[in-house]
Amino acid sequence: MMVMNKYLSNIATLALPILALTGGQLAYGQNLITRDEDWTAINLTVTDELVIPVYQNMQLVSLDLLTATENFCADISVDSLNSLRAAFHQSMAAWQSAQHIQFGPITYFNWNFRLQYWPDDRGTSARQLNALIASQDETVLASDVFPRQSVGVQGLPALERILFDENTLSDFQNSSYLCLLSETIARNINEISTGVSQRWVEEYRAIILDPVESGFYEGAEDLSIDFLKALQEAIAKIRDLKLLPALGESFAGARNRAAESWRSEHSLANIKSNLNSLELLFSAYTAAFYEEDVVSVASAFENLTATLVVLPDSMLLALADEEQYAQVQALHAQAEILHEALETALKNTDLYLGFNSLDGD
Amino acid sequence: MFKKICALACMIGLVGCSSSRQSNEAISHDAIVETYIAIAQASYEDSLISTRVLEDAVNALLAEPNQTTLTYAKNAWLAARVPYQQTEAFRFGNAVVDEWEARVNSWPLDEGLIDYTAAFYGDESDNNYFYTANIIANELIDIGGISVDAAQITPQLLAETLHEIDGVESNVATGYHAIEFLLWGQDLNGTNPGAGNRPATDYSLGECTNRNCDRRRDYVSAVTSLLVSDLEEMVYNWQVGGAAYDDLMRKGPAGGLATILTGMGSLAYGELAGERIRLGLLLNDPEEEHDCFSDNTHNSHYYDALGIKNVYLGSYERINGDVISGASLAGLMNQEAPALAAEMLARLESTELAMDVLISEAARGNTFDVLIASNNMEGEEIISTVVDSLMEETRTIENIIRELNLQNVSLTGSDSLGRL
Repeated sequence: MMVMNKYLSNIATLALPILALTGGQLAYGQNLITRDEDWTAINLTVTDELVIPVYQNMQLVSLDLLTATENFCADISVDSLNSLRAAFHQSMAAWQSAQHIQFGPITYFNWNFRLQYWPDDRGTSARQLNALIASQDETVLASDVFPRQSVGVQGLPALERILFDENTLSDFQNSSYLCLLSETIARNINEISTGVSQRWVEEYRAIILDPVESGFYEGAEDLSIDFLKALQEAIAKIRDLKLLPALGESFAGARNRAAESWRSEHSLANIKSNLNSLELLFSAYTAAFYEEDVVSVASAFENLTATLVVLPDSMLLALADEEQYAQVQALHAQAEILHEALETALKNTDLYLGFNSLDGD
Repeated sequence: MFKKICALACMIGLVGCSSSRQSNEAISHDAIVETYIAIAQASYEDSLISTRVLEDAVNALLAEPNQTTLTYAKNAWLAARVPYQQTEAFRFGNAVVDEWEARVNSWPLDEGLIDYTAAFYGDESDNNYFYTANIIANELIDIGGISVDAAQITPQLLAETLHEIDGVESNVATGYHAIEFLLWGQDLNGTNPGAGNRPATDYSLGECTNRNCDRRRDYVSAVTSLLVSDLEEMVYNWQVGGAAYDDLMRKGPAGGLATILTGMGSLAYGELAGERIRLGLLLNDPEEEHDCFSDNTHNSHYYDALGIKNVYLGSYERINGDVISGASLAGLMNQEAPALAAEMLARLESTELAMDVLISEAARGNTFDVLIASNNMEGEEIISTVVDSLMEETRTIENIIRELNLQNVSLTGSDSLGRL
């Protein structure tokens, strides 16, 4: 129960003083945190410890990715391809640690979609990449033109498609355009990562400090709600988009290709990165929730993590084995339990999460 | 613009008009729901009537396949979209409609399931093993362990076996867009002007083009008659004792208002602004336009927006010119929160103006697929204005939901949109 103790220790340090201030009269339906400065303190901790470092890491590893792409193109070999693929995994893992933050700078200039357009139900990225490669059009790769192209050709999934094909080595040996395109995508990923990171440091941190002054928020609680929405929506995304479509209707009907990052065989590795970030985010806000709700959510996180840790990184491998398929099913069920536990925790407070549901059509 | 606002204000009693409702007369929630149901009944009936005309036109095409009969069928399809798109405001919030809608207006579709496609379409999809199944060309299909005997192309085969086969939503075998594809064919112009240009001889038994004309004839005939029967079902659903009617009655007056606003907000926000408009702009992809074969997207979006306005104002102009009108949410808001009522009118007006620009651009040859081309800055601005207008409209709808203190309302979002 180590995880649970960690959460309860947060309650001890943050929630109890607030309860004392309000005379212990709180009932379900009320917020446990009532003062703007208390919300701001948590939001600032989250920003400084869980947001900015994650984006700064993205900036660093995406630079490594660009360097690895250039090295591969300078010396196309099995070894340099393996190094490049390893660098890609690093960048994807860094993005997965930040993927849940769908507000703030990541939404500027469509940066979120330009980093990752997924799911791509209609294979748009494949069609557009094939057309681009067939055209050999170098003008599209110019630094002032490429960012205006379809999000389907700009980000990590596009690069994954190029780098994780069984014919990648020979394709690159036969087409110099693939190098130009890959370097352009890698540079684009690094520029976006740098932009997001800088905007958080130079602009959005000031908004966190004084949300009302920015004009974007009516109070610090609204910003906390953005973080909590990010948490809730990310769990729904794991459940509905990252696990359910891949499970199919049965073991025989499982669909590895419906999973995120199936080509690089890191579908479940992505979820591990997601959960690590999400659990830390929740732990930062435990003071906002009633103790028994914190225990429920913490327990749900713990169960998910325990199931996930014994599964491989690859969804393909996991779905190939009937016992492991059952584990992925369990993972999906546990994601549902986590989502419900968090929803209950939110409903027991007065944190207004808006009317929007994640599900599109 | 002033005249339009004045006319709207008149309709809901914002200003003194001899024919308007007395401003001090309380508008009951029941009466608003009654109007809503009356509009649903009329607009689904109009959809059915115009689709029966389409069915006649398709029969005329099959009797004598030539450019004239093909154009007649295309025009009938375009006309049928006018009332149908206005019904989309009834989709979200009414589970009976939402479930049924997947058979009737499912989109986007992997058209290679149905018929021949051009090289740009490609030959594989990560998620869809039936991406190029081409039912018209193949009497027997065995893909991924699923066998289909398609020797006879019947409404039953389309509805019960092919539609969403293998659990893939883009395997659309039925509905308006399947018919659209069969009449226009693929749009081969990319993001340049021009729609699909299927030859009428694709339906000729004597001078057949692109092979399998007999089976293509069977397909278009089956899918059109299926659409007629699906619309008959929905017309019945809105009559007293029908499933949609009964569901709404069970919700009670407040639940009825919540349903109306759920339908308005979900269509405006997640569906229209997000999935049908912004996603196309993000991908610069002509396949990502709602009526991608006919390039009728501007009209479909316009009439969607009009449908939202209809249910809010409690007024609908039928295809024969008759007007259905009655107690409305607009009137209620005018009584309970006049400032918010005025704000909502302004939002509806802004959206209509933005949609008008889509229509006028299309008339100049700049259809939706042209506007979403990469590096078309002017097009991006036009499309972004539509998205922004719909987002603003939805924010006001949320404010109305709050003002009326309606519970358990969830508006459908979109992965391609930011938060409200």
